[in-house]
Amino acid sequence: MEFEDFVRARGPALLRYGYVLTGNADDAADLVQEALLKLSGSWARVRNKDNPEAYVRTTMARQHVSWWRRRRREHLTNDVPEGSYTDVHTYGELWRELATLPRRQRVVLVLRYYEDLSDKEIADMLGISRGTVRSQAFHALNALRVKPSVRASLRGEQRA
Amino acid sequence: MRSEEDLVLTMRAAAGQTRLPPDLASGVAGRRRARRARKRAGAALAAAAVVIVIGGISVGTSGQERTIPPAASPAGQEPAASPSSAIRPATEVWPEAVTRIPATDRPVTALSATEVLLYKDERFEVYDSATGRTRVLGRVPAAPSRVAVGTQDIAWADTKLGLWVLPRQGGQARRVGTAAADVYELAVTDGFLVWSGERPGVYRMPLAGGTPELMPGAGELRLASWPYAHAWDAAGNVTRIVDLETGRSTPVAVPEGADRWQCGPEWCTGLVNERPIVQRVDGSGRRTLPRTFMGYGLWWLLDDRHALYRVYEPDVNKAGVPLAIVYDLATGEMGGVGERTPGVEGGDVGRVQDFPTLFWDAGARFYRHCADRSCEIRTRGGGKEYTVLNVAAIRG
Repeated sequence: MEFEDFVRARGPALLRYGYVLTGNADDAADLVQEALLKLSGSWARVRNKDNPEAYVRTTMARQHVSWWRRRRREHLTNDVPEGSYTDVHTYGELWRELATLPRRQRVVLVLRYYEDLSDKEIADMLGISRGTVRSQAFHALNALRVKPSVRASLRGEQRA
Repeated sequence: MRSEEDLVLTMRAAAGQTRLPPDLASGVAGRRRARRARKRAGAALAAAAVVIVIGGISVGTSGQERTIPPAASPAGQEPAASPSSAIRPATEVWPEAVTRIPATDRPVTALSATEVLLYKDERFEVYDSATGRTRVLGRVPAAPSRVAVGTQDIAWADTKLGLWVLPRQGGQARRVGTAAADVYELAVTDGFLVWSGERPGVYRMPLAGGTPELMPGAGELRLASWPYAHAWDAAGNVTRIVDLETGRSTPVAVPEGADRWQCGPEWCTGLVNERPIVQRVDGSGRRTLPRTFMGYGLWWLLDDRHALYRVYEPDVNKAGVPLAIVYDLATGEMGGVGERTPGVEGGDVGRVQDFPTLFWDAGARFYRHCADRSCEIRTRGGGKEYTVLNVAAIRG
C-alpha cells in the first residue's frame, strides 16, 4: 500500500479519532496531518513491519498531551455534536464538559472509552504508570460526574 | 449521575459529526514544507528545550527506522560499500575539532577550538576546555528561541519576538527591536541583525535599532547561513542561492525526483530514490553515497561542506557501529559520531539549531523501551561529560 492510499483509506477514521481527542475539527485536522507527516517520513519502513494506523494513533495521543498544548490555545468548543440517539441534551452537555478537562485526563478518557483500551495499554501508549492512568481517569470521571461502573473497576484486571 | 455508557455514546456521536477537510494528503505535503522551514530553525532554546536531538522522531520510530533495507540504487553508480564498523571515530579523524565539557552543561555551539557557548541559568556562558573554567558572558533577560553568533556579538530572538544582542566578549544584553513574526533563521553581522521566518522574506534591522526592513530582492528568499539565502520550490528543495552581500544569484541544478535537496555555497546533498547523493551546486561531481549512508532528518548539512548521515547497519548486534557519520562532501573524508549499543537499533546525537556543533555522551548506553504499540530508544548511564565535535574547526 502506498502512503496516499493509506491516507485516503484511513484518513476519515483518524479524523474522527482526532476530533474526539481535541474537541474541534481544526485541531483534529492539524493533529492528524502532523501525525501523518511523521508517518510519511518513515512510511517505507513502517508499512511492512509495523501497524501504521496504531503508529499514527499513538503519535496523535502523545502529541496531544505533550508539545501540542504549548502551541495551541486552550479553548472551549461550542461545537456540540448532535447524534441520533434520544437524549441529545445530556450528551451535548457532556461533550462540552469534556472540553474543560486537562488534556491528559481527556486523552485518557478517549483512549479508555473511544479506543476501548485497557489501562495498561493506555499507560504504555502515553509512557505513564498504570496508577497514573487510573488516577487521571478517576479525576476526570469525578469532574464529569460519571459514576464508574463495575465494568470500569474490573476493566484493568480483566484485560491486563 | 451519568454512566460510562454516556461517555462512550457522546464520543461516538461526536466522532460521527466530524466534518472532513477536503484533502488530507495535500495538507500533509504543505505541512512538510512548513516543517522543513521549522526544522531548519531548530528547537526553541528556551527553558529545557535547549537540545534538539537531530533526526530523532519522537514517537516509536527511532528503533524501527534502522532495521529496513535502504532503497536500491541504479547499478554502476554506487561506490563500494564501506562496512559501518570500519568507519573511524570522528574523535580520531579530526582531533583538532573535539572538545569535552562536563555533562552538567548543555552546549549551544562551539566558539573556537576550546571554547563552547552554554546557555545556563538564564545566562550565556563560555566553557574553555583548556582551563576547565566557565566564564559568564552576561545575563539573558528574555529566554532565547533562536540564537546567532557573529564575530562581535551573540544575538537572539526571544519567545515574544524581541531581538537582542550581547557582546561576545561579555557585558550587558541590549534589546535591539522587535520582529514581526517568529524568527526561524537569524544572523548577526557587523551592522545588522538579519533573519527570516516561516514564510519567505529576509529582513534586517540595524544593531542600533529600528524597524524590520525587507532586504532588497529577498522577498522570496529564506536566510541560510549569512550571507547566503535560499529560494525553495514547493517541496522545499533549494533551487537558488543568493549572496545577500553581493546580490549574486546562483541557480541550483536540482536532480529529477530529488527530495530534501539542500545546499551550501558549493555543495548540495539530498535524496534521489531514497538514496543520499552529493553534487556541486551546478550539478557536477555527482555521486551516490554508499549504502551505509542514510539521510538524517530533513536537513543534514552541517556547514558549507560537511553533512551528517545516519548509519545503515542491519546487524543490530554488531559492535563499533557509529550513531551517525560526519562526511566531508569535498574530500569524502568521514568520521563516526557516537556509538551504538550492540543489540539496540538507535541512539541520537545532540545538535542545537543548525549550528555545526554535535555532542554526545560517550559513556551512555542505549536501550529499547517498548510498549505494546510503540518503541523508543532511551539512555542510561553516562552523565559525566559530553564529547563536542566542532565541525567548523575541522582542518582540511
